[in-house]
Amino acid sequence: MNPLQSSLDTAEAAVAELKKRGAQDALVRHRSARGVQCQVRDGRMEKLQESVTAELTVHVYADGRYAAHTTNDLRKAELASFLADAVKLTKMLDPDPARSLPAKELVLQKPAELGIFDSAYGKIDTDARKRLAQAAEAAGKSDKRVVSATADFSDEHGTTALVGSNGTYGAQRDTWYSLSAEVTVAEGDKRPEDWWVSTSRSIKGLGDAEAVGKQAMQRAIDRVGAAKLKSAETTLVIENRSAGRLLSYWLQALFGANLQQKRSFLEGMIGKQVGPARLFQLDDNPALPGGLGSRSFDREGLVARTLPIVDAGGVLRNYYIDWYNAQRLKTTPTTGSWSNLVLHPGSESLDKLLAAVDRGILITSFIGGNSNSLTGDFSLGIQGRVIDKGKLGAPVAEMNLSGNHKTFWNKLAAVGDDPYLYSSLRVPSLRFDGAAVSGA
Amino acid sequence: MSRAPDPFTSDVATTDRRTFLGLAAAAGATLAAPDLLAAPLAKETVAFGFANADLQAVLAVALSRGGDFADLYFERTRSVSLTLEDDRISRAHASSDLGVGVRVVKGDAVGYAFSEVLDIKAVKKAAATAAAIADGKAKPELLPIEIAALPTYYSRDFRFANIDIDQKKKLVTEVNAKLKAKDPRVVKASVQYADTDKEVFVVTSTGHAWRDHQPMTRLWANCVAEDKGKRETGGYNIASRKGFHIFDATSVGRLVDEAVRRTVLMFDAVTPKGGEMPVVLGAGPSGILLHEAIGHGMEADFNRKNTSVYASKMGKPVAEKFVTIVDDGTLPDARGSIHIDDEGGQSQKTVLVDGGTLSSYLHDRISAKHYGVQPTGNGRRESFRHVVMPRMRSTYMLAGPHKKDEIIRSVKKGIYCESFSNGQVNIGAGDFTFFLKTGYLIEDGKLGRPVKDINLIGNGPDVLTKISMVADDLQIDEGGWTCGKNGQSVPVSQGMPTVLVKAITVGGAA
Repeated sequence: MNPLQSSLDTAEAAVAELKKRGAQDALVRHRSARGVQCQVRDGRMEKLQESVTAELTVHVYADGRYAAHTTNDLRKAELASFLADAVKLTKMLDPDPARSLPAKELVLQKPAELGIFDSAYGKIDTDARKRLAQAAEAAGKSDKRVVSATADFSDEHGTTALVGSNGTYGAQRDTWYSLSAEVTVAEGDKRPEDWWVSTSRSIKGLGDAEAVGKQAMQRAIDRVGAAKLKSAETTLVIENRSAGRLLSYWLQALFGANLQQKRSFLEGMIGKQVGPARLFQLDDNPALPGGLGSRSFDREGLVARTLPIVDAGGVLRNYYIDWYNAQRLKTTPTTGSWSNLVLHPGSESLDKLLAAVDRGILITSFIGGNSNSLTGDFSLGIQGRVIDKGKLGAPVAEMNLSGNHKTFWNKLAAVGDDPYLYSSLRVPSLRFDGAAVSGA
Repeated sequence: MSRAPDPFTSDVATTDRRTFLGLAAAAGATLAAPDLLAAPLAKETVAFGFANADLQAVLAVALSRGGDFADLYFERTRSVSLTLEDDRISRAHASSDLGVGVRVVKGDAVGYAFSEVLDIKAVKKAAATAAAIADGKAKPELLPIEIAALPTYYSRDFRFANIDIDQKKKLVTEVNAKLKAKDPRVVKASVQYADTDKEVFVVTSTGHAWRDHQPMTRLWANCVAEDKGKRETGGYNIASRKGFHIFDATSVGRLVDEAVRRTVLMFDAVTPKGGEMPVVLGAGPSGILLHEAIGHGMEADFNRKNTSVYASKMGKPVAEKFVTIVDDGTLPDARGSIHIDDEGGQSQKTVLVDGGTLSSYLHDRISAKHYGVQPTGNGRRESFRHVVMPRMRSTYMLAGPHKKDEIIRSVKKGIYCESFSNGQVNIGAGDFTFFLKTGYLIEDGKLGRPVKDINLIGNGPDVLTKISMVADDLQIDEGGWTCGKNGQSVPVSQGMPTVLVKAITVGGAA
């Protein structure tokens, strides 16, 4: 049978069973997937793993109460007993008037074509995976200073179906490929390392395997001799690969759960300026063809649609609010999580961004650190390169970047033309003027 | 990397693929289920419905292409969690996970596959897939399977699934009431309870087999407080392998007191001026420094591949003579304790740094073979879906010759660290971070105003040499730490006496 239909049928049967057992409403997600990981080191396969999974997650609404349950034991009798228990447990909780399934007119009834399934998937065999990983690994150790290079080719093909008693009905297939390399070089007792990854919905989209290995190797070599600088207020350029991580902390304050629990520094900021006009403009776009975060429906079944987050004037337009928190906050739901978050690119290349900096730091990666969604305070370990008169200089390590999101994003001074394509956070390289870094 | 996840905030998605730590499993089962290990079994059945002959047959397929070693890891995990917000238990999550992983080892290469369907045909198919890491022909000789007895570092005689859900509800409700009553400034309280019953049965091609029950529970309390238009948040959590009775009046009292104290303390907190300065690590949670600065770097897989900053330091002095650091799988009831590792290695207390000298890596079977030493019982995996790797258990520093007061008094200007949320390390360069949630300024040898939410960053081997005082007050942190490595999460513990690090870079204002 068509895998989409079979997945839908499994979910639909579970909804019926839950209702039979005493649930008034139910939303069921069925996901099955097959993935392979092939890792190569020293020219040969070091790890080969195949993962075949199937899982059912049921959201149960019974007597004004709610609980979610997950199982991978889909044998008929075991599943029936699991679903009966699910309803029993749900009924033992406290009633919550905000718990309900989304209104029928908001939920999915037919998925859109998003280019997230690669029909070439079935043609890739273990030898092809191994060849790609070997090519990346070989390129990653072509310099004498390399002490270890590892390359990893992973892929997954899955089917997700979502069926709800409120009319939610849809299923989608997706594929995902990733080729990465990790390279370590010698520097006395130290072993500086770096990595590179290419991720795509299609095998073609991965690009050149050797380029992945070479990028990782060059970046590792560039780490040799890293040292900390003195604490200072300085100009920063954050490379596209890492800029999304900083933005992801800011995004935490947009979530309905944090707003409802009074843990958001962006509470009450809709309609107000949160960043510089024409620079800090954000959209959530679930329909990007082949996007890593593209989707037709979110976890609650809400139909995905484009959502302006921050407009061209730097003004906050929307939060990420799921159906449940919308009921609690007595507001309109948007969606519970980001799909593809796009920070609108500028027109200058990374080189041009750097050229405009007299003295500063290019951040190539963050290490550790955290952020407080209530106060907006953040502090992150950084590594990168000195920028001196527009040119890249010595590697930098062992420093921290600290600030508060409420003021930090106002320091955004330039946006690159290079959105990072290997993440659902499509953020270009960014320049900030006057950031606090601490070191020696 | 180590993290005490906050179950109440969404996980941060990042573009850094080293940072893909998942939340600790939301946990527990509700209703009694047939116990796959303890229930009376059909005569020929060993466990999970598999008879001796079935196990032998699967292992034979696993080694059919010339693998050196194979193991089967059967697992059933049942978890339940309850979440209270706004004075009501508004959600629960229950999960059930069942499967068997087949691993085939050839030299230091690994073939792996698993089946979520426990019938012999499906498991043999997984074994054939895993077998393909080797590419010869073989007629393996299999040894008779003998089930080994295990030591006891925590009780395996109970199931959380058999505890009435009403008792768990009562606990969560009581914590909420106490948080609200503790301080009128608390405007939001949230409480989460989670428990897990994990049953495993492992059998190897060398004829070894064992069964274990691995219980885990955890209770979180988080608050938001408001005062004079200012808002702050904080929390505390307690995790253990001990039974439900770990949550008694004393521990619940401490949970509530600490959650509220750590929240309202923040009203007075300042952001320090950043830079290099002396740092006093408070007893207990500061063990995160060991986890990041040395623990990961001592995992032997990194050293075998020559990618760790510690790869050329074995047997060499790395710290003062009063510094001894261990990784211990045998602490009673600790979250990081294990009766046996996930490939049959005996759990033990492994000494990483002995009187200032680097003394042992943390080994799994593959790395121990590479180095020609005995495994140290560090071969762990997240679940039947995952391969074994060297992982930490409970990592801590033994008590030293100094006193806490004496250490604080010795610092003219610095930071005292009390609690942390997460950390990370670059294995090769040795740079590591840990994130301070609460602490204090030290001014002229005395604790001053609180500080919060700052990152500390250092270089592992460099920071070890800068540990200049170690107090006699070792504490193992009771919080639930989860360690992430190559996409796998395992529960760990950490501990520390009060320690002085002469200089480390603290985040803060310019």
